[in-house]
Amino acid sequence: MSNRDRRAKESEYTYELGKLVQKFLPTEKERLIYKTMQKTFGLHPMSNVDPLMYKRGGFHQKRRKEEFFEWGRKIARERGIPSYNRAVGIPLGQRALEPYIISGTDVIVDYDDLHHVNNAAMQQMLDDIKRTVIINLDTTHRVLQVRAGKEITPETINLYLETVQHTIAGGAVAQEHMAEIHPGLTADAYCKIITGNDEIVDMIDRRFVINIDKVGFHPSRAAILKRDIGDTIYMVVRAPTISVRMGDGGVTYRWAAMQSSMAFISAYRLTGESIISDIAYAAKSAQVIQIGERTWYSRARSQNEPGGIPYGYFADIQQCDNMLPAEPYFKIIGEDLEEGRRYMRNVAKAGTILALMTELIWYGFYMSGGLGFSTGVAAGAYCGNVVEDLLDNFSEIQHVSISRVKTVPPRWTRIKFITDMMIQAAMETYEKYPSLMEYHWGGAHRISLVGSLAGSAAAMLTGSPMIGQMSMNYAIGMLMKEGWVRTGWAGQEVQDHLGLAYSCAFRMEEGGLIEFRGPNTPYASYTAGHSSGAIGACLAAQLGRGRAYVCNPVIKVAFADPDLKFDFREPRLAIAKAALRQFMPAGERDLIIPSH
Amino acid sequence: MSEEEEKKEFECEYEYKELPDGWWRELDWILPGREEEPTIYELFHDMMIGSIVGNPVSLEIASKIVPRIILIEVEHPKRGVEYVRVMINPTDIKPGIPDTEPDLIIHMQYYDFVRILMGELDMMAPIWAGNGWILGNLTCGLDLRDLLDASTGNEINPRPKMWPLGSP
Repeated sequence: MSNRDRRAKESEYTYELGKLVQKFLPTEKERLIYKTMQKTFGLHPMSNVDPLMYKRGGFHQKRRKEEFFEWGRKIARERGIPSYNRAVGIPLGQRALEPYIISGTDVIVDYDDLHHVNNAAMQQMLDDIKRTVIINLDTTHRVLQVRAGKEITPETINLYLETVQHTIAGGAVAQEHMAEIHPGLTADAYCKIITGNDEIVDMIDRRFVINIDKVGFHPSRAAILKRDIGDTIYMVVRAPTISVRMGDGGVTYRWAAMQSSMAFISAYRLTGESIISDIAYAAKSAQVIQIGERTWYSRARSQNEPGGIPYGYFADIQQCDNMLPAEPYFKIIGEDLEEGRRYMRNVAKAGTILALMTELIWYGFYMSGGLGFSTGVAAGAYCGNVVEDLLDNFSEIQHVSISRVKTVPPRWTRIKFITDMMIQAAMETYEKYPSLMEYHWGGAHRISLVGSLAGSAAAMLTGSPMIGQMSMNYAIGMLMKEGWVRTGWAGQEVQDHLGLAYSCAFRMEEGGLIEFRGPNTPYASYTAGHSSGAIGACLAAQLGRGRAYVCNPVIKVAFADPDLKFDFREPRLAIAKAALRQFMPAGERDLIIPSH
Repeated sequence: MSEEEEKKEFECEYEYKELPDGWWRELDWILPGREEEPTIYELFHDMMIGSIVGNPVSLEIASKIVPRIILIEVEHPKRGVEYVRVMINPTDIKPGIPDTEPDLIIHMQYYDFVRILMGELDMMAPIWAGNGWILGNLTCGLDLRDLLDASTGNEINPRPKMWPLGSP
């Protein structure tokens, strides 16, 4: 064939990806991820080689490891039985024992400080959720009016609320033979009212109210919350931390029912009438909102334990989105990239609680007895600025894609390509940064993080958690599985293959409304790495719809309470403080043990 | 927001429509002498010669793009599926499918694609409306969109920082 007749062949034009990347170094250097990985490893983050390998000083490169080493020796000497012992197992620290930068902060901590047993804030977060139940007072008030002929006035409600602070902390009111609890041990126990009625709020002692207008909600959100809660009066009960540490989450509603009923007996001068059983029944069963349901038998846990908390409740427990205006996200990202980024970053911040509660605490600790692995999976959500960087990029991609489009219909065919686009961005990032691959050293880290982001981003655009969950399943089970051949540990993508179809199923065994599913949903409970993504999809869908809460406005308001020990608005700061040993939890026993 | 308002909010504004007979005679970049409605190959070929190559902004963009292979498949209501494969940098256009895996596949209705080339419709609109799909390296899609926007005189969207012009 002469040259004249020759046509260009596509296969003749190839390029070397690695070399091309070098061309874009100035762009990469602007990325948050570049700066963070450089700081973390002290090396060029796109380099394949660690010249300091085997020369990093073993476990001595970390102060915390040295501390553990000393303590192990001390314990062995004191008790005569060996304990923590660096002479056994592999020699740690041949590679970099990288420090962890808490995303969105300048705080650098040791990896071990993020273990849930070493981090008091993580423990308090779990305790604060487990020790909360919400009792509706309307039935009780009706019973008191109709059956006991008592008048319910602002004065009686205030008297009741003062009394219940005493009983909930373990004080006796009705019988002097009751043993009481040292109030110093239960200083974190209290009750507060939630209502959407401003007149009622005005009449109740402000110490006993979570005032929706004053706990940091954007006015547009506060208006929605008040409208949806209405005139009903709810009472949030915080049992003391020590109660759930000794017992379990199931203690809380029993504690709340018993102590709130005793306060009713005292405040309204009741004497053994049958209406007390109505009051107790209302508080224990008929009018109580548990944070979590009981889990199925093979994983049997009581109420208020993390496995039984619905995804929608998890999404309402976090408070990171409170100050965002209640506007649909797709409008915002189409018009204003920076404001869209603010939404994304708040979802990322909320991811801290979601990943800790599900991956670290439920799957890692409760289910598998986790001793360190799931710390890393969860830390992916709140360390190293990885989520921030990727979400910044996702925002830009979304902004570019939808700036000329008026609407984003919640249809899979519409959202699939943008999921492709975002996952392409995320997978490319991992491939460009060997340091990031090392930082997220397991497949489970990568898939749970990228899958969650895909789910959140799709749900934010469409306002549909179902689309979000499908996007997450597709990203993990198809895109990452095909692109990298593997996902996380063996068979981790099982639920993603089911999930595409099950996301839309309402049969009991398969799911139901996504907000009401949870880590306890049969097909979702196979392996870790997915629940935070499903919760993220619920939360993001709420932002996509421009609403003020995901599932339950009362739960949303209950955890906006500034008197909680753990800060559900700034979870990363609380965890960073605890890693630096500056977080003071509740539930300590110093008052009843020898001084130490 | 009420249920009605919400429903309206999520309705898509895109509408598929076929063009009246002889529409191509109105376009200045279609090569003269086309008696029949052009195939997708003819259309893209004429667009490249009559609009993209002659446009300095398009040329500047094309010069920065890494070699790309894009397969466009359109469904014509009468003629059925038609393919054109487009190479950018070096530029080449041929009917049919490429001899190697393309960077990007775009599937659309014929008249949607015509309207995109005319600058009447955003490339993403039919995709968001579910009347088409794209598959593959989406950076390549951004490259094509920039090229088309420049040639039709539309505003060029800034690229995501992740994928600047010339990014593989």
